[in-house]
Amino acid sequence: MGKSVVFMSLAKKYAEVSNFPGTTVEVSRGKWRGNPLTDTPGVYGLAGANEEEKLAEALLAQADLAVNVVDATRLSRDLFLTLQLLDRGLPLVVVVNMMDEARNGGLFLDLAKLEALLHVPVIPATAVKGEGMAELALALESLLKKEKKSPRRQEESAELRIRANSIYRQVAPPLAKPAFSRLDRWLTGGLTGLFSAALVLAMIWWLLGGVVAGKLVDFTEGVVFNRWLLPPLVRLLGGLLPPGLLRQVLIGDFGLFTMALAYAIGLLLPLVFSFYLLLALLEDSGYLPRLAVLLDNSFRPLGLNGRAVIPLILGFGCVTMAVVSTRMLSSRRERLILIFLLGLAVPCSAQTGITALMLVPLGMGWLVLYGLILMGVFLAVGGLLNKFLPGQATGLFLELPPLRLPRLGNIWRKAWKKSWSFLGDAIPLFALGAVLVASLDHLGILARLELTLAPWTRGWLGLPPQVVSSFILGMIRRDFGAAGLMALALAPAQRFIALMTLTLFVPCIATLLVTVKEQGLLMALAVWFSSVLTALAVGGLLNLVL
Amino acid sequence: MNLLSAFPGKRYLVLKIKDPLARRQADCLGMGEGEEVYCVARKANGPVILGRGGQMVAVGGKIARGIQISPRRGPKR
Repeated sequence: MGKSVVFMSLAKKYAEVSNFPGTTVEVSRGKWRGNPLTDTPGVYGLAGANEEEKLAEALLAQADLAVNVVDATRLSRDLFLTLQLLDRGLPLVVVVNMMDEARNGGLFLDLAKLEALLHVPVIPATAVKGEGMAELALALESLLKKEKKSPRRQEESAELRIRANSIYRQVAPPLAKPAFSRLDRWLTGGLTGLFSAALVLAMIWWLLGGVVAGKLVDFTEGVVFNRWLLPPLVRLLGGLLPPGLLRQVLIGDFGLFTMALAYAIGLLLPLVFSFYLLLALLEDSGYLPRLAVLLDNSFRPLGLNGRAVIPLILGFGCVTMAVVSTRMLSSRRERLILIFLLGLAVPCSAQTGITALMLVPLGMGWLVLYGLILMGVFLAVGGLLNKFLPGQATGLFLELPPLRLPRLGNIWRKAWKKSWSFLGDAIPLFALGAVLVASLDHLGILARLELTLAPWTRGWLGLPPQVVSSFILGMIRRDFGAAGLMALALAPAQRFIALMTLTLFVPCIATLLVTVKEQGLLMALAVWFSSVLTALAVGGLLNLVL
Repeated sequence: MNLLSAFPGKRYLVLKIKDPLARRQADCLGMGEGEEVYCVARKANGPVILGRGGQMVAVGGKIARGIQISPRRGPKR
């Protein structure tokens, strides 16, 4: 609809924009001429069908006025929400966005008549080009002086739809036949769809594992950090600081500079940024809802429907954000199953990057085995949850946005914003991890822990005792733990077992906190402990087999 | 007949939607009871892709089985 683009234009602040509703998982707040401005989740109605609609409804209850952004090419659909907003008595301005697409498609809309029928200002706009934004500002100025009216009786959805259709017929030509392109057919068809999905996945792995992990990280970590930045810094601080805890915490093996910053910026930032670029491409093209159609039936044994694909794929970017975006699912049961699976068996972009970096040199076989085991755990745990949780799966009902060529500017800004937020989340946690492990190391506790846990590490997992520090770091962030493995000399099978165990290991602290917020402490603890058990069970079994 | 028996490319009138949540969502999108929709594509057990104007909705097999439709002939409404 372009709601977030209109928000950005008014607030002069970036808000996430995608080619389907549900991307505004976090409410963006800004200011317009000193007045607070809120970007609500994208919804088509206020029926309370999911958490997003409930959130939008709660935000509207606090608002003094509302800007209703409708899509000129989908006016019939969007008038439903317009009428719901009018019935709530809020002073309203309707922005008819994407007028350029309507004009190009030969769709004529009588907006003067629409304004007369709705009794509120109607502004034609093409928000991405800034068209109509000055008129919107003028309309908002005059609307600020208006008082809220008392709300009208809430009509049944069927009655509202009849009113919306009646208004639509007076301002627009009859609806055209829907266009389902050959590409749509290809992407959603059984074999062709699976082939396309495999192709997309292979391309992501090749770009991430081969190009970014192989070439870019070699430069950022190997040259920039290990050759240019760290040696002079270690020399400088080494000269200034006497041997002791502070020196170890700053520039020791697990130091703030030598490990936390080098991992976060030199190693993970290029991987995360590249992954977000690819993810933004998928999001903005409209491919993800097609993938939801393709995989709908495959999700049934897990108690989910195809809609779950969207938070799941977002989870490959950042699991914490994906946990929040499970709000788009219709039932609490589905959210619970998906949050469990996200915490357990979905590696985030940073961890995927490290896995690619460490497994690609070993050969494709290891990479395929990694994917198969992860999928096996995912299916087994999802199937068990579906069997034992009370209730039933809901069916798929999902709007398919048109396939669009993504706008490069938006992709770049979105990837940059998410990577920036990754750094903001990761660096304090990395620093905490570095201080913790360096202190444990300095006090000799790490060595004692390694010795105590040796029956598990060496006996059960077949790994050297030094992996204990990686697992401690992994409790803070799994990617941080996985990065720690790179410093260890491991045989191919050991490397594989360590990576697999860490992938299934506990979700990072940020995910844990969001899970507590979304599903309660009990559920968060259940995810945490079952992750530990699953990780150790799979790691141990692999050690027996490999 | 239910939605799983629809033929791609044909027009249908939506008579009844059993699932209450899907009924509300369909009303929001203009594809509710009493509306005319196109069957755009269909897999044997769902999803069925319905179209109306420029918009499309994928309906999973479980919901599609509970949607009653009747074929439309003659001029478009």
